[in-house]
Amino acid sequence: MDKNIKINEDENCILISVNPEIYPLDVIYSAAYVFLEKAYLLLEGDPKKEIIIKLTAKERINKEELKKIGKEFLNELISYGFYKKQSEKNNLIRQIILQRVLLTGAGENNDDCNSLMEETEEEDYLDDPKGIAIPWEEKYGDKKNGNSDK
Amino acid sequence: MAIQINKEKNEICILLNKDFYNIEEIKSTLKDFKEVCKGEVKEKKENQIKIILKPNENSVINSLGHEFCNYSLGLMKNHSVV
Repeated sequence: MDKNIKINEDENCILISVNPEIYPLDVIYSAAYVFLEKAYLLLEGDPKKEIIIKLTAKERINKEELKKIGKEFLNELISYGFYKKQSEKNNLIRQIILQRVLLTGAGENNDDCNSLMEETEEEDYLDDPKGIAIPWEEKYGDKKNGNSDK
Repeated sequence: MAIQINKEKNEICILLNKDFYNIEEIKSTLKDFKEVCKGEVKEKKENQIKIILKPNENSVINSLGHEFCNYSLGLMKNHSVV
């Protein structure tokens, strides 16, 4: 059943054989990356015919647990394989969206943006064109005596 | 065996396949490991890269080779980016 998984309990490791035509090398790297904390990994074999991943558990575990790690690795391969396929499929539309976003920033709205920037640069922070700045004395000072020191 | 430990010489010899491990990434791994070990990288004819590590402390000799390979693999993943 699991002809592509070989368990070596004595060495606390598992050998997984992968077909590179189904799972490309970058997918294998990504799946391997997930397991770096749990196990020591080594890649061997032929990148065109058969890639062998040697997973050695960092802690001593039994045969069943080794098998479980192996199957989890296969699951990760499928997960990243699917992700790669999807991202290749969406590649063109992603490029179009990105181009549109960049062109919008550099195109017609850029003039509005520049004029707004110019207006802002011309204004002084002391200017009060809408008359909303009220002096402290006027707002909180002693209105009877006209004394602002209180 | 890709990783061979020689405790008498306090040396680890690693053989990695060039198809899976980039020599530049191995060199930068060695650079990042400089506080733990000294080492050298050699390119061999049979599509292999030979790495010889000399750990600064004896206590890490059993795991250093594996950790070195894991780190290189991590760099390879970042190199390919999926």
